[in-house]
Amino acid sequence: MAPKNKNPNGENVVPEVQQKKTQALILKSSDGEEFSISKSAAGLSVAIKNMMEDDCAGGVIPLPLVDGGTLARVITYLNKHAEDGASDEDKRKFDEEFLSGMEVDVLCDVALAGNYLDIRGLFHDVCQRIVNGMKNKSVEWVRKTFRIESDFTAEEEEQIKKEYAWAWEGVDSDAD
Amino acid sequence: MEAGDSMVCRRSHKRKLCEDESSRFPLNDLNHDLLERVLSWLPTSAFFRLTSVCKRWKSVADSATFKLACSQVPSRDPWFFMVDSQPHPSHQPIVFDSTEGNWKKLNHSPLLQLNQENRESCTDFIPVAASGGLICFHRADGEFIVNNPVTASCRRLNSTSRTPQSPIRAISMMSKAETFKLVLVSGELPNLTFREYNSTTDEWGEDIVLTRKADDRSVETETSDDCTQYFLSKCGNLVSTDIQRSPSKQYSSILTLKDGEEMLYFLSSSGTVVACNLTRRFFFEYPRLLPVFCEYSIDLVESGGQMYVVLLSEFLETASLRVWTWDDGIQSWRQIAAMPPSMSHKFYGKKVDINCTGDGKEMLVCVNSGQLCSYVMCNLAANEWVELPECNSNEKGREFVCAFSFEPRIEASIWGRM
Repeated sequence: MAPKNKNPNGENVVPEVQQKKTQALILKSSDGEEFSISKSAAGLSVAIKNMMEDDCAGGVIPLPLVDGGTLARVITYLNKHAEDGASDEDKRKFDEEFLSGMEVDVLCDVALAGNYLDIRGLFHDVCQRIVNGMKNKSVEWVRKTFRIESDFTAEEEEQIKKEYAWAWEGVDSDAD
Repeated sequence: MEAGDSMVCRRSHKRKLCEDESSRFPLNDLNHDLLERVLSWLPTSAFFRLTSVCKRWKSVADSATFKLACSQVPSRDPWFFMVDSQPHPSHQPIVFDSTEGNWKKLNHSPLLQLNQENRESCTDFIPVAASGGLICFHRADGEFIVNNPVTASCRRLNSTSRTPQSPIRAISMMSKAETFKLVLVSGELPNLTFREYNSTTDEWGEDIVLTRKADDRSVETETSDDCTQYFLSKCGNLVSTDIQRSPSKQYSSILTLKDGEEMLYFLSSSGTVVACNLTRRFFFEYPRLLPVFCEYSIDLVESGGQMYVVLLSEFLETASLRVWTWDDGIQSWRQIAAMPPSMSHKFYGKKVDINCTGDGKEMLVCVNSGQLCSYVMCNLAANEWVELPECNSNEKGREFVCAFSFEPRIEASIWGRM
């Protein structure tokens, strides 16, 4: 979770942001929250970088597909990855902790944002985190956890199991 | 947790269109393209299990955009396609899935499909090479079949216009994103030629002569004609009769890209490593690793584009299994990994033969003799060695003499295109 504070101008800032000499940029979420971010951090998003280059932003970049809570998380990630002197090992540790606390629906929101903003590293990490949560699980467990109703008939399901019988080998069908 | 709480509020507000909040499924919020991209990261076995979750997920398996997403996953944990020491037509292929750490019996025989189409015996086809998600089978009359073991798709390649007059020494395959090719090296040292099959045109190229590299000094000092006497090679003019050999390993070779040049390595019949530079059309032999009077079994393996030599030797009443790489800097072999002595000791005096396969990080060593059969997986970078669990196949006495490492990729196309 990234707690948000207000700076004297009333803008949201994420703590631990490096006070960089580079100019700041304002990102505006779908629900109207504004976040200040350094250009170097924002540039890690290919989509924002393109918008900066096109100069269609005028200092404030609206992101109508990302809500404030998700945007705060994404900015926390970008700031860490733009930090001077953060080693790859630091970043790896940060990524691990950053994602490990997230529930699956939060992960999905971050995946959507990562894809929309074209932040490849974040998108890949989040996808892997989502599938890691379900790769060893039974079909029933996945349905229950993700609240999916099966729309297969029993025969259809049996047919799939027969077709790919090997995929069930060595797996406890009710394992969770 | 303030931010989190406020987000939940916002979310329920934003999604008030959902009639029943409890039925909300987070992945439903992902559009189809994103769902495909998330699922493309699932290990292959898990993906096929989860196609039975619902129709939407099932439909992903046939989607062209899903296959495209899969092709962008940089690497997958290898599967090992196991080669029976005593093949039987009724045997279904067995793979070891290194992601799930278990054995899987594929319920489709790669060759059965073709067999039905062509009404001829396909049992004479043996696996000889693998690359990416594909395995190549060969038959003595020069026919080739390429198969994706995961999807069971199979294709017979255009036959060579004429089979090489000289014996085939090595068969290698290299698959890239959308194409694959085969390389055949034939002839007797020092008269080697090679030819290439191109999947895009479905045609074989002309024979190209490989010349011995002029400044190949190492060989002159090392080669001697009577050195095969104690050599336990699977491809050699072999000595000892109780050594198991697999025809599958007869053409074993590895193909890598080194500094933009294609290098093919194979073991000569006298046990030296022959390196063929296909780009510049020359070959040379590396110096021997061990003096010729040592008994040993040797194989080559590729990992991360590098060629490694795996060597099982017996010294001072114990057996050791070591992995070496050629160091251009010191112009010598350098050891990079070794099986713990406690593991390798049991191979002492058993006249075992080793057969290796690898790709990426993991290597599988099959250790065979009349008395024992063991499969050890090794992470070369970490020098970690793990013996695989016993194969739980219900066919008794099924043992494997060697394996082919491949990546389980449902998008790998036998047509050499997506």
